[in-house]
Amino acid sequence: MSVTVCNKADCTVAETGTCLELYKSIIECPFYKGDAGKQDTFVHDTIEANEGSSQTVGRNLSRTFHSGYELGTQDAAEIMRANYTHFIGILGLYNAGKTCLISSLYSLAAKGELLPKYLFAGSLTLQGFENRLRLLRRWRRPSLPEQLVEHTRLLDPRSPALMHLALKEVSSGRDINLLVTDLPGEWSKELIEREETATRFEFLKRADGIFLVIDGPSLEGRHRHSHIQCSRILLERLADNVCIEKSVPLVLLVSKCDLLGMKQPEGIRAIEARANELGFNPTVMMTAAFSGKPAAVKNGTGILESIEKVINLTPPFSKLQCKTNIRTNMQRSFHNFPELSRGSEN
Amino acid sequence: MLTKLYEWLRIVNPKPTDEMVEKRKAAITDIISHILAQKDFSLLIALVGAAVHGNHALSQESPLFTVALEAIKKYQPAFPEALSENMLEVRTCCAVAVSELVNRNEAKSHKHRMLASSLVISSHPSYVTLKQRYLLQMLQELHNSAHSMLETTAMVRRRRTSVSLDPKLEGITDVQSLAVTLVPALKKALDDLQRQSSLEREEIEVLWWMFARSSKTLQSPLNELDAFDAALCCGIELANLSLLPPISSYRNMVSRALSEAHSDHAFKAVSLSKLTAKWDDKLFSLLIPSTPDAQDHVRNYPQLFPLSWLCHRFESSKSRSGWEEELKNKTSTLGTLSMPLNDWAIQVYNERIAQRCLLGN
Repeated sequence: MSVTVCNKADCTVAETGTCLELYKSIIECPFYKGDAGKQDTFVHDTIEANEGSSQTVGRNLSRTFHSGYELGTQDAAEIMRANYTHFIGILGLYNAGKTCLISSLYSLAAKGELLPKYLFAGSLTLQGFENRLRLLRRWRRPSLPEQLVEHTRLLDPRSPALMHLALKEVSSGRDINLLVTDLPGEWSKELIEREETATRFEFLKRADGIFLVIDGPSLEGRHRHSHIQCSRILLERLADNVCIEKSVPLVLLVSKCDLLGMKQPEGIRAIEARANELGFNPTVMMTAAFSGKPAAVKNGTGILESIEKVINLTPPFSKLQCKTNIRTNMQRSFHNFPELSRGSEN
Repeated sequence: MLTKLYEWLRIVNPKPTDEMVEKRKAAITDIISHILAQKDFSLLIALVGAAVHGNHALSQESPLFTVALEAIKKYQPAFPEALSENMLEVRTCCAVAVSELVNRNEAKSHKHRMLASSLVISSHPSYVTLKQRYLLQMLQELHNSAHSMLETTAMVRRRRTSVSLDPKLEGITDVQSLAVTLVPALKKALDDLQRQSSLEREEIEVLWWMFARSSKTLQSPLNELDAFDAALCCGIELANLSLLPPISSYRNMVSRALSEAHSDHAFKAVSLSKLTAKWDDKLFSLLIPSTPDAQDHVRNYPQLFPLSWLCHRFESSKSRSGWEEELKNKTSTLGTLSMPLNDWAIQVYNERIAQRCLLGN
């Protein structure tokens, strides 16, 4: 591989490919030293610009690091290929509190409030978390603003955004990698309105848990029936169109419960019932990602407990079903010696 | 098996592409061919160890990792070389390879199939408490496949056929032609008789053992032994009586024999520490295989032979201390495991069967 070396002090051509002296072709620059012939991480591609002049573009081939904002599914695969990663799909309508949930989890981790159970062990999307919390940190008024975090906009509208958080369980030393989706509310809305969009959610078949975030106050407002119906349809889409396994932990997260005095809204029961009918085994969690009354309801209430529903679940190791298709000449009792049941011990 | 490759690859990639699935399929086929070409079972044992326990059985320098990495990189050069970056994916590929081996119905891989299946079953305590959903699902499917394979093969072996002697004697006029026709038919009939006889002998010996309710090893009724010693004896003695592969009924017999002798203890959960603390020193050698090679495998793969590993450790170090830390470092799950005593007896049985498959007897 060749490398471009420049004698001019502070010239960044090696990093950017752009000559500080503004020569279109680096070779024409008087400070250009030519190929050093060293093994380095630069490769020069020469491309023809529209006017026919050539422009050299440097492309750094050294190890690329994640941008730190969010990960796509292929970035996620790089983490998942190394260690088991708990993948949590978070869905919900616009303004339900999905991003607040994720941001609150990060805040808890950053402030050490996951202790004594868990230690924060890193994140590949630190900048993404920080960006999401920007609005919150700027607020100076005594009461919480209407909007705490910016509404999610995906860098690639066709691909889900994933946020990464690594934890360490203090008691066992177990490393826990979390990947949580941060999808715009529009995705859930489109899934409700058009079942064909279910293919976009294929990645949820890998989910270790699904969180359906439901705006708590909306379950008691004038339009509660509409919100309940939307949640039910969303569950039906997950069951029938995305075909999520029924045994995957489903958490119905009621958000903004500080505004409800932590009282479970009536409307959640209908949603829970529908989830049960569809074959899921839902858990209802009352949460307050960022509380307007922190003295009465702590920030982050219910968040860690929801995550633990996923990371601490040991699916039952079901008994072996060993039925063969081999026909024997006769059914010998020796081959069918019965299994001892607990009742036979007496 | 390779048909499950897409589902199992989702453990490491939420959206595996067709191209990726094809590449892994090719790589896994290469790994299997490499293993079947080996003269011994070392690589196969390492493969099962990697599938069942991942990072505790795989290391950057291990021959299996080298083989697996080479196979994967042959079809996908842009695959990380460091185990720290690819461990779970290599583990998943190993699991698919094991599953494919277990489910292949070829005569030439029969011994590999039996050994792989028995190792998957004997390593059960290593993964039963995993909190990783899809990994556990994969191992559970592997476990079920292994059981199914052994059961099917066992039933085929124990199929009763009528012994017939029906040589084609029409048109034979001289003694030499008669001998040429009759001898193979006689030989086949005698082989059939021998086979049937061994099946009868197996049933009779096992039934007598069950009826006697006594340990042949310790020459004592089972109900007069300590419950933990009885669990060890039941598992080992029944495993030694079985023809290979064993039928699943044997596990129920182990359970029944122990429960009848020690009904108070059979269903109570016992930790591994308590179980082994109570074992008589004389019994350790029962669960240690007879050949040095097999002993090496037991020593190197506690994930596959947890109780055998412990017996070997107690026997060689003449000490019962310090094993918890060592086992925790090697397996991370087994140190605190607690199971009913019946299940531990079945675990002894499973390990002894795996050892016999390894030794070829």
